[in-house]
Parts: sequence; C-alpha cells; structure tokens
Amino acid sequence: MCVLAALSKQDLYGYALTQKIQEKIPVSESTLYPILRRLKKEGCLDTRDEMIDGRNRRYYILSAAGKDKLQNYEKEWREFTSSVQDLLQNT
Amino acid sequence: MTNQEYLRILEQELAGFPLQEKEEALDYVREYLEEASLDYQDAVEVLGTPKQYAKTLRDEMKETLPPAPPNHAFSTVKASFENRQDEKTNESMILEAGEAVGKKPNLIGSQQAGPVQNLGNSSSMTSQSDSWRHDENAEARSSSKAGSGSLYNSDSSQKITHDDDQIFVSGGQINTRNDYQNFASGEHRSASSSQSYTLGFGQNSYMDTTGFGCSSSQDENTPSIHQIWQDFLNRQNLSAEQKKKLTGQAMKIGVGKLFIPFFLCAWSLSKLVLYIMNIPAAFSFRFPAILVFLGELIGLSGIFGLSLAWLKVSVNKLAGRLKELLLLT
Repeated sequence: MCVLAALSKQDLYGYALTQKIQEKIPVSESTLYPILRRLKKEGCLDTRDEMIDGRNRRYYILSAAGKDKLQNYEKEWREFTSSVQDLLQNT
Repeated sequence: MTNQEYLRILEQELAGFPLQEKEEALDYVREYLEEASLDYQDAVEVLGTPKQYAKTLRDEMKETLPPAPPNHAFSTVKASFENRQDEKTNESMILEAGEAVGKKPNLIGSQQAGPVQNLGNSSSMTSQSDSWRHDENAEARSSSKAGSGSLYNSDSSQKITHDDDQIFVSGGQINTRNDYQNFASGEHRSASSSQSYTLGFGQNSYMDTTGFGCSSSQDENTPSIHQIWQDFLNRQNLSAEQKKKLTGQAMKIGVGKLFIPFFLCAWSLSKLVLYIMNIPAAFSFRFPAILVFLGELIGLSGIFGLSLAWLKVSVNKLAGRLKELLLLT
C-alpha cells in the first residue's frame, strides 16, 4: 500500500522510491524489488525507461488497476485503524 | 571490490531463474547501485550479500512461478552433451549401427512422439538437479558442434535431418515448447520470445528408466529403455533379422566398453577372495613370506578398487551413450 501510495503522487524509479518510503517508515531495500515485481505482475504498475546521463532509469507508474487497488487498501486501512482506535479509547 | 563485482556474483546466484526475471532483477539492482553510488561493501550493507539477496528474490518468486513441469516435460541435455569427452558422436553411432545392418538410419523427419526424455550421466544430472534450462542458442551449437546435440520432441518445429555427410538438428529445441506453454503462465510464455528461459528451484530432473546409478524422478508414463528401443527399431522399417543385428550392434558397443574393466574387476575380486581365505594360514608364515603375502593382498585390493571405479565410469559413459543413441531417434 505504501508503494502504491508513493507512486500515486508521482512516477518514481527504484532508488527514489526507496528513499521516499524510507523517509516515513523503515523498510529494507532488499524487500522493495520483490514488492515492485509482484505489483507489476498483478498489473498494478507499469514501467517506462528513461536514459539519464547515459544510465537507464526504470520509472514505475501506477496503473488504473493499481489506483483501484490503492483505493481498496486505503478503505481497509481506515476501517482497521478506526477499529483499533476505538478499541484503544474504550479500554 | 566494485558494485560490478556484486552484480557479477548476484548473476551467478540467480542461475536457474527465468532469464527475463533474472535480467529485470539485475537491471533493478544495477540501477539502484549506480543511483546510490554504492560500492560492493555498501551494497552488502544495504541489500545483503548477493547470496542473501538472491535468496530473497527466490523466496518471492517461488510463489509466482509455475509449478514443476508435467511428467513428460522437457528437460535439458545441454550440459551432458557439452561435458562429453567421447570422440564418437551420437549421430555417428547411429550411422554406424545402421550401416552394420546395411541400411542408413532414416533420421529425416523422425521424431519421437510422447514423453521427452532427459539424459546424461550422473554428474551432469546432479548439476542440473536444481534447475533445468532451455536455451535456443543450442540450435547453433547443435548444428555446428557434432555431439553437442539437442533433445527432440513431438513439437512440430523440431526436425532431425540427415545429410550425406552430417546430421544436424534444426529447430534447436531442447524442450517441448508446447509443453512449456501449457504450464507456463502468460508471462513466462513471453519469456520464450526472449530466446532463452529457465525454470527451477528444487525441481527434480527428469530422465528415463535406464538409471545406471543416476538419480531420477521417474514417472510411470515414461517408457522403458526397452520400449524406446523397440519403437526406434519399428520406425526404421527393418526386418526381424536387421533388428536383431542392430540390437547386437548396440550391445557390442556396450560390451566393448565394459569388457576390460569388468574382467579386471572379476579377476582381482576372485584373487582377493582367495587371499582373504588364506589370511588365517598366513599367521604361520615366516618372514619374508608374510610380507610378500601382505604386499600381494594390498596390491590386489588396489587393483580391485581401481577396476571397480573404472567399471563404474564405463557404465555411466555407456548409459549416457545408450540414452543418446535411443533418444536421438
């Protein structure tokens, strides 16, 4: 969900995406690629390549399916956190 | 060490991955290392060692890769063929056998329907036990290098043709593409267009029933070596006499290879048994007879051990040859 959320704001390449997420939550660099790969397989992400200073950068783009998935995740997350919040307040 | 070294090791660790998957993973890591300006040590701190990173990817990919190939799925012989040191090629063996019965084997268009077999000696199978691989470049190799060979299948793209001077395999498929596509996901199917793909992760090797000490994952639908041989003979449209002669020729190749090591093994074993039986009596021997006795005992043990090893190697080689001979049909 964090990856999808980060990519909903702008297209990002692997390193930038990692940095962006790490600004908010600690995440291991080695786990990010498998997540990207899986999301891509599920059709949630597209990619485009750009040459920058002779190097290739692969940008990850949120697809329509990815946007739908993010919406579902956000909804579930809000429901979950709301439930937890209620639980904490009532105990 | 540079990050290139990291990538090089990682590439090795990813051996057995589908090619497209491997390239994409390597591209990602390469881009990451360059963007972050990480050298080898930094990369290890950030991503873990290449081995650890490969394991992470493997664990992830296990869940999304297609299951192990079906019973009769394709498998590889590339390593087996490339490892061969024999001077004779499988093609020449068939020609030789065919000529012995006064008939050139009809290899043109001959294809074996049904299960595709794996072959190779135990060492090559061991090396392939964790993964099997398809490489369409095999076509070039199998055309240019006698004996580098390829496997054949019921795929219509596969043709084995016979020219006056040489036989070559066109189509170049080590595996059955149709089989592959049947079980592979669409994504992996697309990998076939990238000329090469691999699948793996602990899948067993697939081979025929001949065994000869090779480990195998036998499937009940796999025909026995006898059946394969009979099918081969039937396809050659030979008379009963010619079939018998061709079978004899194949046996002859085997016997010739095994005779000397077998003889040495049997001889040294029989002598060794006699000497062992005489051990109690040897206690009454005087010097230097006892030393002579012990020397001969040790010498015979050595000869027996060596000849046994020779026999084993010969059997494995023969197994590989017979498999090639049969499977090339």
